[in-house]
Amino acid sequence: MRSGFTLIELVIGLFISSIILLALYSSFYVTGKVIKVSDDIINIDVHLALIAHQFENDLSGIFVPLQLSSTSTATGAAEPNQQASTPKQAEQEKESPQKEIKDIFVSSNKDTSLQLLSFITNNPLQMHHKEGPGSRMVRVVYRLIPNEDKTAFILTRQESINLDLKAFDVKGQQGIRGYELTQNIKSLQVEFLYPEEKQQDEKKDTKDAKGSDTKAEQQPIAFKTVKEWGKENVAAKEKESIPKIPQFIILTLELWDLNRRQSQTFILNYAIASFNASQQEKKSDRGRPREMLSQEKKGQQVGKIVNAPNTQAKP
Amino acid sequence: MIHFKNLNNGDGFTFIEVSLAVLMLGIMLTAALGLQNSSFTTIVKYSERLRSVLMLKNVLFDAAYARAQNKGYAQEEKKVTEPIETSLRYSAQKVPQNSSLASFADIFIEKADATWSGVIRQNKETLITFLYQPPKKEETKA
Repeated sequence: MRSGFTLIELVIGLFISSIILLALYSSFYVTGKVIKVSDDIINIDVHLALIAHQFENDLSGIFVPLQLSSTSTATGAAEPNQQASTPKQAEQEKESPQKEIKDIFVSSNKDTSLQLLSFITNNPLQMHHKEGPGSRMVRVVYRLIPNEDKTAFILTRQESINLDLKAFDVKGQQGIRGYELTQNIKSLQVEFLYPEEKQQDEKKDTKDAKGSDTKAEQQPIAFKTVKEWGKENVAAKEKESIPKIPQFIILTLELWDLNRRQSQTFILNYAIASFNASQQEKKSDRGRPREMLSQEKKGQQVGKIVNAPNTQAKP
Repeated sequence: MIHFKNLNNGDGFTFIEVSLAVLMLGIMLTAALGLQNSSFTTIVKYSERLRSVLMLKNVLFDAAYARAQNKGYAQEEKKVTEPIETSLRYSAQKVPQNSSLASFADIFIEKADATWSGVIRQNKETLITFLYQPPKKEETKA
């Protein structure tokens, strides 16, 4: 007679194996959960670090190109007295006439979320171009585009030594190549801060009246917050009081996790280092006729003799 | 020389043999779980570091914003609860005289610290920047 397992042996065997299976199952379950949470953390962190770093890199180099304050380059008109040093230079100037650089800093929104952000920076990613070492002055354009199923936004970045914003809209092979920074953005809102001009003027007045600037400098300066920058439809008077670039930028970034179930919000703050320099440039040129500025820049005397006959003998 | 028992003699395993097998299985599972736990802890640690660095950058930004507003920035400890409970501290001090940086006039050392209790122990992250702040000159009248 062949002897098999008794009932008690079978029950005990089943009991032990069920305990082992339960332990294994729970460990696999925990492992799966840990992998999912880790993936979410890594996914958000990678995109967060990438966006924060790229914005920091680009925004730290924002500046207002100097030629805008110069009348000759700003208006694009060649000075009559200005002579080209060599015929080659004259040819080059003829081929590429200097145009006024418009849209130094532009930002527009769509449904409270950022749509386009463009500025000129001296901190480009690409230093070498087809023609050789390129200019450090580039235009960067960020766009927030909804994805196919409209559950998230894709942040794209374009960069080119071509400073004309319209050139960035050209599609196809002729257009400026862009690349995706991230696909998992739930929303991206931008706020721009700049000091109110009224306050600065008031501060200056008090300084003059009291003759001492110790108290005036203690006066707090109010900052204005706007959500868009460089809009076309702003009134001319208002446009005059707004600086060309903001002093501070606050980004509120909401990132989806891997499965787009939960989102996390981050606030990224950036200070524009060249803001004070751009304001000093603006103040020194403020309220002065453009002709005067151009003459001054050429080293001529300004405002003394306007139509006096030339008494000096010509050589 | 190891002699294996003949498994076809119908004796089965002894209690000690089974116990040893279960013990070995337990050790292997514990090692695997420990490895997984350590990798998860590393991921969480680096995530916390990234978030704390962002918080510290925001602290330095707040100080810069306060300076631009002509306001003072309180050099006291702040507590933040989101996303992790962190205490933040900011200080701006002049370069000490005995330092090699003392030859640079009007340089301040800005320091921001973040302290938070991590998975295992207390973690700390510090950001240091140098701030050039010359005394404001009186404007001369033209």
